[in-house]
Amino acid sequence: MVDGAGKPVAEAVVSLHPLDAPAPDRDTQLHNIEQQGLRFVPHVSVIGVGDQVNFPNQDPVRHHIYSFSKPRPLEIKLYSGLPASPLDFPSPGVVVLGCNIHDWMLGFILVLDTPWWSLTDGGGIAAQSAAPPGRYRVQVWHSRQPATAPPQTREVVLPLAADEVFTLQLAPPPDLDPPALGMGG
Amino acid sequence: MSFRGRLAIALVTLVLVAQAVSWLAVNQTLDENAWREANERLSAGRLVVEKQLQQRSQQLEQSARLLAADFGFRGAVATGDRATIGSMAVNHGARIGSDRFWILDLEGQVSFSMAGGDDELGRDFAKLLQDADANGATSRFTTIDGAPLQVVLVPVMAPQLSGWAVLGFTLDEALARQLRELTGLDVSIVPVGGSDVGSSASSSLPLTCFAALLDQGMPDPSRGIIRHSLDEHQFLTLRNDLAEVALLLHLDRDGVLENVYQLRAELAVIAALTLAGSLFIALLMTRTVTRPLQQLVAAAKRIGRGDYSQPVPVERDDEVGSLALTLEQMRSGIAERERTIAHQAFHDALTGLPNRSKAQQELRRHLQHASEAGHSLALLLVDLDRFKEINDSLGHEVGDQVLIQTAKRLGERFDEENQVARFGGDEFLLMLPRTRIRQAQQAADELVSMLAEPLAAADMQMLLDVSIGIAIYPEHGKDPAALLARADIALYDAKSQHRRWSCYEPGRDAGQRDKLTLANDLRGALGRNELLLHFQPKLDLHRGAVSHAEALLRWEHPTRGFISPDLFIPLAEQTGRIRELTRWVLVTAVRQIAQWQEGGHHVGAAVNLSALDLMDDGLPELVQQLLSQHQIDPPLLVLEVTESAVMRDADYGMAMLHRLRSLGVKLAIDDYGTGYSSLSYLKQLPVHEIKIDKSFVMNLTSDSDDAVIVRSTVELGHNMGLKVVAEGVENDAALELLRRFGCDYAQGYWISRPLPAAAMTQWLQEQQPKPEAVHA
Repeated sequence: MVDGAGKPVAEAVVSLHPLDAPAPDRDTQLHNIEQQGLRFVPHVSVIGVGDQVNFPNQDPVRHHIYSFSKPRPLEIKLYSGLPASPLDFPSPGVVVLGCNIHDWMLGFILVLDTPWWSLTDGGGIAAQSAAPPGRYRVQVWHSRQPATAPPQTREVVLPLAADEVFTLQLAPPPDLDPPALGMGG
Repeated sequence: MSFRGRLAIALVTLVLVAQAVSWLAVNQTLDENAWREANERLSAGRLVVEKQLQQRSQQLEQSARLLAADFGFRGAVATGDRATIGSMAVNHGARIGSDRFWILDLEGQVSFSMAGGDDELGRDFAKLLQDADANGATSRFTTIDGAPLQVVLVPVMAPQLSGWAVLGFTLDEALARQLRELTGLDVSIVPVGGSDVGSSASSSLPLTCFAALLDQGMPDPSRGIIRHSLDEHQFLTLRNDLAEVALLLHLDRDGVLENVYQLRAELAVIAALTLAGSLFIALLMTRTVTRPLQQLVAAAKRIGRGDYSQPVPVERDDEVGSLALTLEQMRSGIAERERTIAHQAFHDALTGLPNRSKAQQELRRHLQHASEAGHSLALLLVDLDRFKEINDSLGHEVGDQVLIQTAKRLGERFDEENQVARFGGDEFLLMLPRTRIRQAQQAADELVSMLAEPLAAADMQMLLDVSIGIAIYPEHGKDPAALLARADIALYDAKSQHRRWSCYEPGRDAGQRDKLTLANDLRGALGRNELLLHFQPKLDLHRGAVSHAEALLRWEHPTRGFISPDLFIPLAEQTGRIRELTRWVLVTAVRQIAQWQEGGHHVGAAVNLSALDLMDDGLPELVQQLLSQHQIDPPLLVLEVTESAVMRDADYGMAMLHRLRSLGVKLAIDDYGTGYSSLSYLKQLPVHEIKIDKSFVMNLTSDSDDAVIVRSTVELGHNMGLKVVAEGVENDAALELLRRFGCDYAQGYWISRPLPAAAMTQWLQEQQPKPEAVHA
């Protein structure tokens, strides 16, 4: 995985979507996306369709998290601690998280309908060994890719005869650091 | 032009030039200051405006950001909820005062416009998007649909960039006014390059001015500050372009220059006051400088007119003062000289008395005065007798002395009101106001006795006789000429009548005219044989026989008969005919002597010579010639002269007597006793006889004084070796006395009256046989 300048891109989500057979069922999982230090932690969460996500607030301040993304618009109004119930994500897609109180807070939930996915490492390489051979659609997504640009997809046949190389156009990394607030702890 | 005028103009010009220079300098400084102030104000205004607009941009941006950060708005944009966006645009736009509102999608395409309409969707904000800063926001002055607009673009983050909100704020008159409030400058906001600028531009200027500005068109931005006139108001305008909008800052020039105008007005007042003051001072100064000059001019003019009486004022010690002093010296010099000249013109240099011309003036003045006052005026014309003789015999210096002393005496006696004048050579005129005939006669008497006092001249005591003619105003005449003529006639009368004075007698003028006629007639009398000689015998008392006969000229006038010699002899003397007459008498007398000799009578003839005859240089030759022609014994001819005739020109007369005496003829002094000759003088005369004046002889028997005089004269004559003749013997007693006194000859009516030649000849014949008959 390289960027426009040919450098390796880390943390890109590479997912395999079978074309000939439906993706195997799997158990729903519960994920946590914490608000800690006025950030979403983790910044990017990859979950499966139907999974649930809890948004525990570890900060001493309240948050008001929201998303206008079509797969799962959400809004949890001013809360602290753990919201009453986890939210489920029944549709695949990218859900962009924001906080109406702290504009700089940005988080991503990628909802995938496949169990076969991985992140590129520091060398920009992602490997997948669990998926059975067959035809697949490879999708590459990165949090920094432009909003207007849909995730890149490519058809591949497993096992791969050779490495597939993707080139991503990425925006500069967003400034996720909170402004210098007088935050105790 | 006058000196004063030129001086004043020079001074005023000087002041004017100085004022003009200072005015120009001050004005230039004022203009520069005003210009600089205008510059500063406009520049400062531009800074203020720029800063203000920048702040406004930031505020607008902040407002826009706040709008864009609104959760609902973000949601609406993110979800493309146009209805919500529309309502929010209205609500929020009103909240932050925006006039236009657009939403752009991530592609930069207009996804929403508050104005609505399909064309709005095609509006291109690419340029604006390019300017968007790191935060995704920007602000710009632009024109949209020709209208000047400030637009602000802010990203809509939801939470990622979901699109852009574009807010437009109209740049309208309210802003212009607001800017004016801040800067004190009028502001106009005009879109650049629009076609229909007028409808979209706005200004804080008055409408009329703004309209004028739009009419004129936009100033060139490269020209900096320009001056222009908008609806008759002067403005200084600075154009400042902000992207597609031109911002014009107007400075009301009158406002800026108000102080200058005020200052200028004050300066003008000061200048006017200064000018007036300097004019006043200039006039004062020129007056101070020129007034003394004008005074001098006036003084010089007075002098020019001949008025020397007023002294030239000398009040200063500067150049003008010295000029005045010079002028004053000139004036006094001229006045002095003129006095002298006037005095000389009207006064006799010798005696210092008024001269004839002055006397005539004075006479007119006296007459005028007398006529006005109704007074009388007496004219006394005083003539010195025999003055010419004194002059001739004793010299002019003595004559002058006589005149001076006479004048002095007269002056001492009559010195008031210019009463005395020297009227002619030896004539003096006295004018005595308020004097009648009696008083005039008294005055004449007084004069005679006063002037009869012996007079010392040239170491000589001299006795002077005067004759005086008197004429009285108004009796004898009214005008000066008549009075003078009549005084002259009176004087003539006095002289001819041997009186000391004579008053004019009315009718004497006729006599005078008579004389003139006679003088005329006398001219032809010789040619017409009207003249003849009478002879009066002269008895030799020793011999008892007639020795000579005095030849006496007679004039038988054809119409007037016998004319007295006393009348025509002086006339002949005055008219210069006397020599002619004397020569005729000599010729006739000598011829008569010759005839008498032929008739046996040894009788000589005596002929009278006048003073003028003594001047006749050819007389001795004539006598000589006559004597030899008729072979006459010279002693038979006796030539008689009066003392005064000799004295007329003593040297010449004496010489003439010597010449005649050398011819052998006898010489006699006629009218002896009436002159004033001193005996020593008499002694020098080369004469043989003296004839005692008949005035002494006629009263010889009745007046013992005369007898004494006659006797002593006879004795005197004898003592001096002279024969003595007595004239005017009118009776026997007188003849007897004369005989007794030893007188040598006698002549008179007792012996015989003058007889014509023939009668004389006959008388001689009668006498010859009995010479003693004279006693009968």
